[in-house]
Amino acid sequence: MSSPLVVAALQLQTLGFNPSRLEFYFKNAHARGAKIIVFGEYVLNHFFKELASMPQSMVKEQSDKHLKLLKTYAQEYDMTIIAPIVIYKKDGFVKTIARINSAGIYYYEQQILIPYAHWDEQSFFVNKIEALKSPMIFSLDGFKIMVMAGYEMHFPPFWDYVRAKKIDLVILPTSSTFGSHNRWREIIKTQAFLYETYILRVNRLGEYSDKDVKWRFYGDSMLVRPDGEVEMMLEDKESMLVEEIDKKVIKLHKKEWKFEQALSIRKELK
Amino acid sequence: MTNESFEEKIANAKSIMEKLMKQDISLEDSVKLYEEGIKNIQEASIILEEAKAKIKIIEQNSIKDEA
Repeated sequence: MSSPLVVAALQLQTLGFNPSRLEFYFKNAHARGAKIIVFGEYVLNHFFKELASMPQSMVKEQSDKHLKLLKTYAQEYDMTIIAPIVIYKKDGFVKTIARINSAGIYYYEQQILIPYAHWDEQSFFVNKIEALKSPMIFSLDGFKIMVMAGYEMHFPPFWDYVRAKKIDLVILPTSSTFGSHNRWREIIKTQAFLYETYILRVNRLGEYSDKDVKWRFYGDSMLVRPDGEVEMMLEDKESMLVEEIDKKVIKLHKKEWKFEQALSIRKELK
Repeated sequence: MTNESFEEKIANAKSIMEKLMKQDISLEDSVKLYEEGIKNIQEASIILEEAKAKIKIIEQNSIKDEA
């Protein structure tokens, strides 16, 4: 069985053009054995409502600059980096999550975007609305990992995929705000328990002022175990989480609760 | 276009980049600075292109003189 995998979550606010703090965190994570490091949503770029007030070339330059730097870090520290990033295509901005390692950069275009009047990513970005495709899945040191965009966590097809592909770790970059702490905590703990997987949720920090309303992004980044318990949680300050995930813990949970086994001996519900 | 030299425009763009790298800069200020920086780079680029064109003309003239 694989050795434990050390994972890191960077809880930051938007970096703007200044990524100088990253060097410190990457060095530290590397020294602690981390093989993968994850950013929250809208850390490399500004919050999407702010992007509307920026020249397109500025947003593009910001993304290019950060991706170039992260590629260097991925090589220097031999790490996989998961970073939500806005890229520009000919029709407009696309909300993606980049997986960066020494071999290259791979993008996952978020499939379901928030469509609410007060938070309308679906209208702002040009991500296609089409039949659902496979999420971003990859293997690292014997662990099967799936990347799920924060909002996509609410949709069962992605979780069915977690079960079908026997995912060991779900990476969940988010930009949760207002008073949603408890709802997110409870959903993440429940999904980890039901789908027998670790979940690493990485939420951004910072504020956005919309007329009279202040949107405060509250952190609460956490690693949740397959038994639904929180292994480690950050509070609402800039910080980094570095923890181990272990296949033995997943195996034990599956052995005790037998969810996967119970389904495997029955036909699917039509 | 302002009357600054190529070197001055490049120096302005560099100084703007340093300001953009500050941690506490507001988004509004960073957009203004970015636009100013781009303007400086574009103007410096025009000066450079003009200088290249002048060199080309001088070179062509000197070839004619030699011939």
